Amino acid sequence: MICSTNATKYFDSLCAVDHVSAEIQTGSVFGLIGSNGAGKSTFLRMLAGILKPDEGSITIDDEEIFENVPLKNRCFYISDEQFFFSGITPLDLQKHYSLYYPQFNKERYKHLMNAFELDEKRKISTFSKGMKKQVSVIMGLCSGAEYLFCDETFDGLDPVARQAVKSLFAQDIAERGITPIIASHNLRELEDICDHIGLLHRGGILFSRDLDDMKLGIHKVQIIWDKTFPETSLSGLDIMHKDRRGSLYTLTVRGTREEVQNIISQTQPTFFEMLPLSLEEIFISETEVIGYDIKSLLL
Amino acid sequence: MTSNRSFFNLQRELIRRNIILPVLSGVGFFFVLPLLTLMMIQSKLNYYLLRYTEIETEKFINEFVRDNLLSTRYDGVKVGIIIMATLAGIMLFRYLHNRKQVDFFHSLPISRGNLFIQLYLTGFLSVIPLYIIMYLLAIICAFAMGAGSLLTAGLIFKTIIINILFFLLFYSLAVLATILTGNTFVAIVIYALLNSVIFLTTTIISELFSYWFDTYVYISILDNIGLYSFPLYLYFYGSNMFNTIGDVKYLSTQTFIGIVIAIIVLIILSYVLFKIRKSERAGSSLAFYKTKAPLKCYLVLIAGYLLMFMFSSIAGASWRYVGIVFGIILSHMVLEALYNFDIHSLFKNWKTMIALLIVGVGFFTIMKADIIGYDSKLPNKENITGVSINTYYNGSKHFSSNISNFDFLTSTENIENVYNLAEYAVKNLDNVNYNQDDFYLDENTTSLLVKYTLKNGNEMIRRYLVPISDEFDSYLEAIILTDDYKQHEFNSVFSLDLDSTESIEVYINRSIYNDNITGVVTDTKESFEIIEAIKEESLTLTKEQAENTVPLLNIDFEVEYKRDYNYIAHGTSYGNYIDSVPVYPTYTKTLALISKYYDFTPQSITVDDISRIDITKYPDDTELLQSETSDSNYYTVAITDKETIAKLIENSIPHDIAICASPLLKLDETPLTDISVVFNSQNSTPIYYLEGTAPLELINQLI
Repeated sequence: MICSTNATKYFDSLCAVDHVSAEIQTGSVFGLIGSNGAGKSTFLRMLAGILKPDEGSITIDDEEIFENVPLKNRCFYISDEQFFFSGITPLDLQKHYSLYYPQFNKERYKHLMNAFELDEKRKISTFSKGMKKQVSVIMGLCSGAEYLFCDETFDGLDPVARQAVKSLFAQDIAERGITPIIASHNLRELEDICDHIGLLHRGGILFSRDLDDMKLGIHKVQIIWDKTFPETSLSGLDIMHKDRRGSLYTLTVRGTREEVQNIISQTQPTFFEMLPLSLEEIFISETEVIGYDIKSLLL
Repeated sequence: MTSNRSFFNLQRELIRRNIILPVLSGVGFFFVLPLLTLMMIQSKLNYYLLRYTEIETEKFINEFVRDNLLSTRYDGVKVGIIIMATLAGIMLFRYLHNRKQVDFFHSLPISRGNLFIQLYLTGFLSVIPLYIIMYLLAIICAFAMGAGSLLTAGLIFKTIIINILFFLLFYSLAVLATILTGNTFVAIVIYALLNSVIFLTTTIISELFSYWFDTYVYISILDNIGLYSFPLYLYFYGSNMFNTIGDVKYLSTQTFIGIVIAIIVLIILSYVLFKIRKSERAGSSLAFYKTKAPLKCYLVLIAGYLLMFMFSSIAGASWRYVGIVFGIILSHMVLEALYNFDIHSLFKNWKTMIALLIVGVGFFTIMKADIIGYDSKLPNKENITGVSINTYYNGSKHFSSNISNFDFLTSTENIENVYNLAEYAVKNLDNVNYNQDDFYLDENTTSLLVKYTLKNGNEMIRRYLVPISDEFDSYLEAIILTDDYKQHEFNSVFSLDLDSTESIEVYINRSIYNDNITGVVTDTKESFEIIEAIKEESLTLTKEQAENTVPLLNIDFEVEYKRDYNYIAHGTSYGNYIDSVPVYPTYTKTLALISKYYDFTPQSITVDDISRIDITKYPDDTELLQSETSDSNYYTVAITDKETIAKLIENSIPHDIAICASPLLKLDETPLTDISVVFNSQNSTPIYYLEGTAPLELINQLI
């Protein structure tokens, strides 16, 4: 289990990660989402043992990750801006990683290189952005690491490759019990694969929850009343977001499905429908509550 | 990553990933070693064979290879070593300046300590093996061309060791500079600074002391610290000392150990800093923010004072403060822009800039006012164990005599005398005529350098400008005739170390005919006898003799010391040359030995020896003001009449004799007049007269 306790990171006077506490269960797929500059990459770099927290601690299985070589042997970091040595080929890179990761699975590497139709003897510098990402993912999956730290890994992958990577992750989770921690802006991607979500905003963590629980706890409802908006009757409802188009109200509310249904039914709406809430909508709603309003950005 | 196999595999992999380093090393050292060895030997062969015999040519070529091409004196290899050390240090550790690379390396399961060792070794192994291979190839080439017979295993070993040592020194400095910074350009600047920081600091301190204190004398220990902490100087000028067997063993061992210690300290420091360096500092100017402020203060003040030196040397002392202010403001702006990588940050932290301006200007002003009493400070007389002086005694001669000693005067009498001189100089410190900026020595002033050794082993040294006066002369007169001074004065036979003498030549100069060398005694035993006699008799010279007696001749001594003699204590040559040692008529033993080993009897000038006498008259101040052209400033009268010549040479003293005589010798003044004897050989010499013997009336008639 990865445990972040009040992890804090300052870049000069800027607090990039502000007392973040979260737990990531082994075997889960943890999605790290957040607004721009929220500190996702910094948090991920701390989890991977690249950065040392200025305050607090990051532990994996109760051991500090920073400068812990045996522990880092179980981790693999895929950067959003990957570095490859000048003139290196995937084969060279595989040999390079094999020196650091003794458990590196060369057969699987060969298999995946063929599956992704990547030439292992071609210089990586000639690869496209997506192909470079594929190489990094292959290295990560074949390294034998139990914890994969992926920073915007799906960015640049074509839909087929994206799906393939997701499948590979799922396969490794099932077979080896790996724990991918994926930081991304693309919430739709995370929604498909993650079972746990951490939402970072301006350096601090807003929440870290099971995705299903989160979805069950937030609902989008569309309602039409033949009268005015029944504010008093809905006072028991935790409305996170309200939008009106003509007589149609769209509300994002917090609470169990039953609670929400009961309260709204009592107002005797002409039309009432509960819609599934996407991760993106949850993100917008949650960040809007603490003042990160998409509308203010658009105006 | 703990097994040896993994360690070496990773080492090999890192070398492969940085293959440019071994490639550059191989090509570079191939060019400067085997290839250039072949070319240089061929070139020298072509040159020497046209001018010398085959045996001589072979000797020259072998010596050239031993002493230059394949020794530590070969600058080509030194340049190569420095370039490769700098490149390796910066290239291998510059990943720290790039976030992508930092993330890559620091996410890998390898400890920072291990990574440092791997990278450090990669730099070493990428360069040094290729240097050694190329050096050995060059040796093979030299042997193949018949030019390697003088190369010994010891020389080859020393050359390799010294070049490796200096590679490690420069390499460690480059590594440290790269770790300390977050940007490669800044790393290069810091690397240059690390190389020269002590030298720069000691030089500036020394210069500032000379600006602050009128009596300051450059302290050699300060210069030595600066130079011996300057790797470039050590490599290009210091490493030669390793090559010589014997003479400089003492220095070479010290320097060698010093460099080894410096390398160890640099490696440990780099290792520790590498481990604690924050990964996120990639891209910033300095990786350790706490170093920013002190470094800025240091550099800004250094720049302020450097510009002060520049401004005042160009435009005079009044521009000093302009230099300080300009230097501080300019360097502060540049540093702020560099620290922030933003030209708009020129005036950031302007309050610090003002504070530094106040410190820079204020400190200079306070020190210039000599609030610490540096100039007037005299040591406690009780603590002085030895004194040394260097000044000029004018007496009644036409020229001043240098009064200085090669070794400390230790007699109580002389310590007292020199102390009196120093007190006299301190008393005159406030004399506005002598301690103003841009003041130059005039005929009423002389310089006085005093050096003390103290009981605690320290030395104290001051240089004064002092007014010439009877008081000043009296102190010097009290010193000149003491045995202590005679035994330790500069250019004294007492400075000859006879035990270490390989060969000696004694030149006996008649001088009166100005045909100089008239006899040479080369036999060591005979020479030693003459030296011992002159030592013994020079101590018998009384004040009256010194003032009124003219030496009969003078002697030069040229000594070559044995090769294993530690000459460092005596200067920088293998020999010693003592010239114009006077022989007075009272030195009967010396004169007898000269007569015995070289048949010579001193003679006076006779009319028959002389072709003519030239008397030159110079104008006085009034005449100078009236004259319009320089041509009319002086005139010369040639005297050829034998009778007049006879009168003029009576009691005369040739220049070479006068100049070697005791500084106390009393000579007559011949105001604004030079008298010169032209011999039949057309050689000429100025002549002087003992006090009260000059034919002034005749001279005045003739001009």
